[in-house]
Amino acid sequence: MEELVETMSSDLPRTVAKGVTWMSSCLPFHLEDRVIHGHNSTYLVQGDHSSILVDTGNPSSWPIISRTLDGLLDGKELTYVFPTHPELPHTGNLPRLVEKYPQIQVIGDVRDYHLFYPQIEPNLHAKVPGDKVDLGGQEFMVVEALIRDLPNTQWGFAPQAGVLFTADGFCYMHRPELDDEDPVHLPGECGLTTGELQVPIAVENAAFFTGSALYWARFANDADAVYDRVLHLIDDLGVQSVAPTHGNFISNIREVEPIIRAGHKRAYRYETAQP
Amino acid sequence: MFTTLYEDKLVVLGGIIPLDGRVSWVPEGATGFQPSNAYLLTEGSSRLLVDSGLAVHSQEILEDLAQLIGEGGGVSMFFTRSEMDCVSNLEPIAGRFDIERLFTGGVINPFDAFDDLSRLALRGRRHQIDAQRTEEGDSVARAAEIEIAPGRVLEVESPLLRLLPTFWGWDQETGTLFTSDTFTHGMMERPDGARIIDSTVEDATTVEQVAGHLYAKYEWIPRSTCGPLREWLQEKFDALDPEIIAPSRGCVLKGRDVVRRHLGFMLDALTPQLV
Ligand SMILES: [Fe+2]
Ligand SMILES: [Fe+2]
Ligand SMILES: [Zn+2]
Ligand SMILES: [Zn+2]
Repeated sequence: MEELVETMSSDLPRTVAKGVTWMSSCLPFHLEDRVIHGHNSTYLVQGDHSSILVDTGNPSSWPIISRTLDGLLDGKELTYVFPTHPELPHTGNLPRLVEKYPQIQVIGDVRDYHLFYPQIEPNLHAKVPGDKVDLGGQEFMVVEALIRDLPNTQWGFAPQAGVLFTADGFCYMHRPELDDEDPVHLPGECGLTTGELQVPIAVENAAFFTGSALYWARFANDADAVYDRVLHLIDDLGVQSVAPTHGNFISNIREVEPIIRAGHKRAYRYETAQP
Repeated sequence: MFTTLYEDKLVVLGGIIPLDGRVSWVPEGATGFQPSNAYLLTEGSSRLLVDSGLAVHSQEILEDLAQLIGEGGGVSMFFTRSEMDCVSNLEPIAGRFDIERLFTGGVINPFDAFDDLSRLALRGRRHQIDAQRTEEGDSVARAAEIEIAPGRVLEVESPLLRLLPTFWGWDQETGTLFTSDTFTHGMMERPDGARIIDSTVEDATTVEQVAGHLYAKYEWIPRSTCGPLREWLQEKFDALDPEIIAPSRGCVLKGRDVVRRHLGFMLDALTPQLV
């Protein structure tokens, strides 16, 4: 029988910062000569008494996500889930999480969710940038999403771990020879951080991904303004590493940011110079 | 409650969304009510459902469908986007009716949102309409054709004006252009108000209203190079000369004069300095 569960690498889950576990399902793409992966990550941030899941993964990955949570939570309930924005790879497991953990609080910009998932309305708790939840020796803070597709997108930050969760921001692929809309990698690279990758991200790949997944970058010529704001945020918060949903965990943000910025600029289609 | 747009050929169905500050795709402070739309195209005994409405309207959609196609009847489906306002009734519809074919684009297979083994059987009914992407990933010429019945097709195209992977449909038979998440600005003051703007109703739409709804979701438009978007839209409407604009939400715009007037509003909204 066909395997119903999306590939999840044996390299993951993996602890990437204090109390932060990188969980991932990789969407497999079967090419003629090989199988490549697109990351669809979730991150679990654990404190002494509470924990929060950042993004939910795709529904077809639910069995393995559920099992991984069982292992990591060791009998405790999941306290919070923070869906960055309502696209299936980010929020598709919300109903299953509420079924498994009936007390769970769904936090974030929860506009629209009552229309998509009416059964979880009692679990919805709206948050705005700056709001924090205490996990016990570890916090999670909601941050304005500076790079986004849907307007009701938010980013998150775990101050004690120094990890910024950027949803579709800083997603990229690093294999120059491949072209698909989602950021791809090869088996064996699922659990590597950008600092560990043998082939670095190329500007063309960042450009391709940005122009597809952040389609507006083709029309808005303001990459410098966007990434300058992101760098300010990184300085203000003291960000150590960046955790995107699609793409490897970024351990060396100062080296990766200029490549993503250049790719974003290249995604713009028109000649006119900005005044 | 469904409304016939074209006798024996086209019906709009779906529920009404109260605007209470919990909806992200309308301008801040918007009040009143917004129709959420699915469309049933009929040719003899063949049917194609364009989008599936919101989960919160599941019962209304299912009851309407039962009346229109008979309990357990067969229906093909086409999703203009794989966003939750379009896809979230797939599972309940599949549970009560026979989904013959499902036409979608992008890498996400909406059947993957299903919990159970029926996903396996249903997967094979998916038809990927953008399998051949253009090199630049821009507007795809009307390449895909969905045959509703011999002699009646829905032509499918990826519009230049979009946020996430999106498809517009063109039904020559009824002169209807399905515009997904654009032209969504037609509101209702009361939940039982008219969900169609035609020559018989007083149309108080303003360009500010059109721009407000467009920018609520397409927040990048005001800072973008919009000339190419205007040109593309104008050419599209000149070539097709639609009789009906059928968006995923908001009132249906019906009649050539109404369509032309609202095209004018949209072109002005795409010239941000005019708004
Ligand atoms: Fe997204
Ligand atoms: Fe995403
Ligand atoms: Zn994605
Ligand atoms: Zn992988």
